[in-house]
Amino acid sequence: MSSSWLDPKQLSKELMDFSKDIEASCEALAHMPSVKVDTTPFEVIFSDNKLKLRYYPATTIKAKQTPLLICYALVNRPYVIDLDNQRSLVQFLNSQGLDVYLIDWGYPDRLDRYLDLDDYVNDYLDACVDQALAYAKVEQLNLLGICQGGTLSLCYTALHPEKVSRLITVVTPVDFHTPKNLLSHLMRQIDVGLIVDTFGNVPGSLLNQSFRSLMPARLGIEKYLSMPKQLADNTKAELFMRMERWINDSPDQAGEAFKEFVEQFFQQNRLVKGQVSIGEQTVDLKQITQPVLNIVGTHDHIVPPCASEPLGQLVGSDTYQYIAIEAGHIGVFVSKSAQAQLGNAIVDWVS
Amino acid sequence: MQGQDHQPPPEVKALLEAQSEFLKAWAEHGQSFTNAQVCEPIEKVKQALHGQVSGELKQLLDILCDQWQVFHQSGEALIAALNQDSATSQCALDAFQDAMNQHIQGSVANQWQLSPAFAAYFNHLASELSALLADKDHKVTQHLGNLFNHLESLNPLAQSQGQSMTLEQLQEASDLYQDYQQTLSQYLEQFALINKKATEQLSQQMSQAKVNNLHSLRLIWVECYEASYADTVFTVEYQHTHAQLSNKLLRLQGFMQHQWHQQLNQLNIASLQTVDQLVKSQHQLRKEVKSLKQQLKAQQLMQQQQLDEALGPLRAALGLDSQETS
Repeated sequence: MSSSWLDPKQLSKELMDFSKDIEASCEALAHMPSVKVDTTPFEVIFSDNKLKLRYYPATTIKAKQTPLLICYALVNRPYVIDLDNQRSLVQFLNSQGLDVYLIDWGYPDRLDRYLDLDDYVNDYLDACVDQALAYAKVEQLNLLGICQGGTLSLCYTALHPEKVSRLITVVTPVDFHTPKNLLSHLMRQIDVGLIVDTFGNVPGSLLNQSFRSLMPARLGIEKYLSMPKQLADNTKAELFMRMERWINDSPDQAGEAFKEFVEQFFQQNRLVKGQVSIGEQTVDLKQITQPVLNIVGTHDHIVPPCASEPLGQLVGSDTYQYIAIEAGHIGVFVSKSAQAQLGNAIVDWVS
Repeated sequence: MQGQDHQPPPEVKALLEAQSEFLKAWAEHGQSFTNAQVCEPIEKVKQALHGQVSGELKQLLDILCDQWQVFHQSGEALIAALNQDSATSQCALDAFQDAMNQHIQGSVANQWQLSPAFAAYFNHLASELSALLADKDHKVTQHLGNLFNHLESLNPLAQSQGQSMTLEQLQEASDLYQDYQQTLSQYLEQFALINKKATEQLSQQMSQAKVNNLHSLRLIWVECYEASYADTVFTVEYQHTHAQLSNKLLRLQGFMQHQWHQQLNQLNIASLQTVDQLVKSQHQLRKEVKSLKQQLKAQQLMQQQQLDEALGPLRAALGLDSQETS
């Protein structure tokens, strides 16, 4: 190792400069107006308990009568697809002539502690599908599931295939026991019953902690090292603030549904075995015979592509397409280039 | 409460002493981290701004200041080492790494520590039990009385006259706490291993890379740390320890909740568990109603079909199509 690789005087200057940058960042933060997210106008066409079904009408001549229903994960909030006007998948889809319906699961509280997967899939999701169909006056819709919402959409389509015309899954875990799936490795021996017994609902902050622990140095240190630079630029600062808002806006998870999901999917990997039980039914992915588009992020550390890839072999569809976008789990939705790719792929698939 | 004198088996006494040592060491570790050089100017800015910004911005402000502290701690450690005449590059690098590792180790430990109220209670429990078991002439009831007073001071129902824990329950609590601490220390050993591997990787990288500023050095450290972390977290041993720590921490919290629940029950006050039972019943009823509605709907459909079938010949005879009659 070279002995003259760092000069103490230069380092001292760097520390001073960094201090000034931080001071400027603090000032910038103090004077920064509150950022807005989730700004695209919508109409709530149905609500049940905490759930709301949003309707975003097409903003150009409708390309197709079949509506698109987006089922987001229970974890985090769906406005990552409507973070700002420059990064809104919803607005892009509307601009391409698609009517979009979006499920907002809301924030479960203690009264929702016993909601289970049967409630989410066969009650809430099914009701949203029926409401969207009735509103659009059609008999089938296209279903787009994101992350865990994709897994729920797969279960739903397998159980209610007659209502879904085409299925799209984005960054969706299917095989939970692939070697690179760290989240799954860490969840496998956790006594999830104990978590639910202790907390009732699982705190969103606990989930955030789990996600951060997947890459502690990158997410805890490197990310914030660049903060002064980002805060020095208004546009970047606003995006940074929006992302932080979204990351920290993490709803608690209904205890029973969380327990069922972790045990059946993460721990027992039942989806690939055709053994997932929802209510009194068993999910058989071979029942999915409609065209399926499966989109992954190549750098996704939460749902690595290998966890999604096996879907093609598991569904009963003759028409299956797999697209890998150069982005991470969130980058698929917020990186401009990735979002354009994602939006175009969805529009092509449903048109 | 049981009032008889209690002789500790030697192994229990040894474990409790080890536990106290652990706590002391842990407290010292935490102290050295929090008392690290305070960044005065930024601290002042932070304090001045805290009152002016919203919760969301406050959180970011804190993160920003934490980053500044870590950047400075690692930088100052590096400068101090480089300024020593006898220092080698490796010494300087070690000083930098120590500062970085201490930061990340502190974050990990924070994640898995008991909440302050729980920790205070269990610390008290450990010291009371140690004293109790070490001094056989002392009155047991006095020790336990102090302990229960402390427990009650943590309890929102501090004035409760409810029955306190038995000695067996206290022992159970102590065992759970000890179990948790042992696993926490095993877990931190895993992180020591990650740090060691990261140090080795950084030294190796630095022998090849030309780095002349702290920012780049930190980015390389992040790369090395993540690589070392990934190597370790995918091992069966790490995953087992991680899960055990989570489970043992939860058992400890569950035990305390159960005690409070019992106290509330004795006062005829609904605890969260009581509310949960009601919510569970309501949820069950909701499912039953849903199922009945589905049955009713299916029945109506079936009746409609039967009616249509029965009316079919009549409609045909009258020359009506099904649309007109239904």
